[in-house]
Amino acid sequence: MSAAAKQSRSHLLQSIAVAVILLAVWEGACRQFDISSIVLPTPSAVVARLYALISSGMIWPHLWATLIEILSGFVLGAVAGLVIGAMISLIPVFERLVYPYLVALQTLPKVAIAPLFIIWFGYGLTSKVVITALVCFFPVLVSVIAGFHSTDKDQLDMMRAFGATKWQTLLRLRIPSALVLIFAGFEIAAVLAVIGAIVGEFVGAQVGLGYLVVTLNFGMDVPGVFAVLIVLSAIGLAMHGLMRYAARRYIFWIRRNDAPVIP
Amino acid sequence: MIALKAQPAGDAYGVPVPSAGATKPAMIHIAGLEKSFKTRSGETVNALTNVNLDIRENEFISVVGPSGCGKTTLLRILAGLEIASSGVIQCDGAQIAGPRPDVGVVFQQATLLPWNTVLANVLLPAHLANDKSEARVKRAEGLLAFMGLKDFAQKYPFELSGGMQQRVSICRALMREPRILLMDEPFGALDAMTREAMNMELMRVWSEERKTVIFITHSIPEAVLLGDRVVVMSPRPGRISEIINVDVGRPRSLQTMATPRFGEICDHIRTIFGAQSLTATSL
Repeated sequence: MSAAAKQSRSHLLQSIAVAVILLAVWEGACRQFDISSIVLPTPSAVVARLYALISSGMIWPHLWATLIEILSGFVLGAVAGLVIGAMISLIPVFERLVYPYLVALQTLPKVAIAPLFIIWFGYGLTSKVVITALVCFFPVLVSVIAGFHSTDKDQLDMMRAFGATKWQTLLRLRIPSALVLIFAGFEIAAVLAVIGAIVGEFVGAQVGLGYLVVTLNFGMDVPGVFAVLIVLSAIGLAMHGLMRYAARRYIFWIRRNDAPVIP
Repeated sequence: MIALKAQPAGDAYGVPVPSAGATKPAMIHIAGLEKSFKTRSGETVNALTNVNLDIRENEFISVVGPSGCGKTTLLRILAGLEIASSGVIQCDGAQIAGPRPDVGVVFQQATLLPWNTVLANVLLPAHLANDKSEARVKRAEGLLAFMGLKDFAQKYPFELSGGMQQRVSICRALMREPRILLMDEPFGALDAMTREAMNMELMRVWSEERKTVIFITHSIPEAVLLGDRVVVMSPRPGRISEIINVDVGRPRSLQTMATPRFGEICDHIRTIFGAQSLTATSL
């Protein structure tokens, strides 16, 4: 094992040790001071509740609904961001006409428009997908525009000197160059997608993990709320991991250290 | 080497320059060339003023000068990346108005496409010309082998050292068998050792694939070592202050740099720059 691998393994062990100690302190403190599970449940109670939610099959329809909202919202928002971002970057007229309005829309807190989407698209999946898509749209849009602006000037000269047409320069240089920042945008959007879906469900839904959190909270089932939170963060981590994997695969020439992607 | 040994020390004066084929008409003809830019504040800056230069076919021209003397601008106009403000800049009698297929360019940075393999990078000029024939692949592989990069064809640029990347970029410039090779401080970013090795490499390429080369540098010894003639430029406004015949025989090697004649020429160029900085301070 190399020295670097040894070091990263010992770092992992240290992180796990910290987690174990924190959980033990938490468990011990709750039992010692007899804290009500409505205020702060013990980790063991949370794990037991999580197991119950899974084994009773109660969580599955909610998990399924939220996953569909996250994934379809992410794909919709990312595709819209890619298309409109590319149009803004490559068609000057479009940038002049559309970009100011997009910036204005961006400054608006998307959460605040969520109730309107419930009115427009109903209590079903659609409204949540639209909210998620809108939340994912902007980071991708901004990263696409920044990505197309990031083309290296020397490489543009090189392409011209070797007789490249505009179209060839776009396909062979500008799009691959832009990918680096676009993947950074995807990574941010993937994490925001979870927030978008949950916020949508908070505002109005009949199914989904966000709806489940509200319901369990209403019933003072705080261990249950914690259990759902664990599931949500697992989804967030999975989305993030998926994006990292895609980035490593499709922008392989960026070594991890210089990647402008959040670690 | 042998030619140098046969040459008595200090007796290089009056030896006819082998490359000076005076009977051939100029391949590149530059007369009264001007180039000015508008700065952001609206001022006009003269990057080049009254540049006159004739370059023969297969001649190796070094251009040396401090930064801001317009040497890169001159090369960019030759490459068709900039258009002259006024004056004549012709290749084979036709004004240069854009990039030409018979010109290969090597930039200061290797400017390789990081997502393409070394081989694909070398093939880029052929691909841009929609030539995907097997013969082009053979040519690219031949060039890589010639540059000692045979085993790196399927590697990516980030797996190569700076010197190797620049050699790939030279292969790319030679891909379409250009008649003219333009080089803009190609070894400026390399360390001294690699740089000397690259100079030798370039001379080997040039002796193998005879081309008209215009080589920009800010290193006086590099300019003298490589060039048939050295064009000395000076800044504000960018212009040619002198054109010097390098009457040192070929083939040249790193030992050539230790000969007295080589030292004399370098000293002479330094004097030109020295005189300029003197006038600059007295102004």
